[in-house]
Amino acid sequence: MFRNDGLATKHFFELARVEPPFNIIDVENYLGGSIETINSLLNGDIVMIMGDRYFKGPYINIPFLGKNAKIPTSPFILAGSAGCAVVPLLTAKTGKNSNEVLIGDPVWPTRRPDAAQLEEMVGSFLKMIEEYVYKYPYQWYNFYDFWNE
Amino acid sequence: MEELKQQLKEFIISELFLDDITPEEIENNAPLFGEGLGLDSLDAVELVVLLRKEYNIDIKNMDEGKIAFRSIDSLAEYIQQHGNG
Repeated sequence: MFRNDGLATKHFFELARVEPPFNIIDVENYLGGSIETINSLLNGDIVMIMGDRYFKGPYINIPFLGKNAKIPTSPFILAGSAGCAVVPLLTAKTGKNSNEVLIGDPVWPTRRPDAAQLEEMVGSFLKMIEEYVYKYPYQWYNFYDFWNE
Repeated sequence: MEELKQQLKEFIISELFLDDITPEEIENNAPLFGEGLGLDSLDAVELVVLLRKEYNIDIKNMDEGKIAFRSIDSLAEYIQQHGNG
């Protein structure tokens, strides 16, 4: 993820001064943090990537809620190189003390997937988000022009 | 060492699908990323997989990784220092 120490990304665990149960790989690191990411995957760790936020690196322009948007393809390429699956995961707040977690079917990208394969994988992932956005329209938001970036 | 550098170039071309260049065209001291060979972050991913598979090398320290990934020269040096397979 993109990490801005001055803002809300400063995590609860840092503020509470306890050891967090995870590591954050900053996309501002050398080569976009790709070396730490593949190392983690090859070591059997779970790596979580925000699949609908483009920062840099490979992407495709693909329809999302009716208009083309720039969506990263690197999660699928990374998984193909590591030989692991991509498991889509979405969450929504459903009450004061409750959350819903939606876990999609695992996708197993091949090594260096081609454009058509990437489009299919990203397309299914976006379809899942679209359905969720229709269900929880106030729980997916951006503070920039998502479609014209 | 020269043999290792040659082998590295061949591996990089085959594993990173660099179909349009030959080992002779890769200079030992040219940058691998950005300028020079022009590799990108996802090529780095394949390079990490290659180093593990072929040389049993795990780049854990990113400061060392940055230096190792500079060129064929530095990569070969890193393998000689850290390789055990």
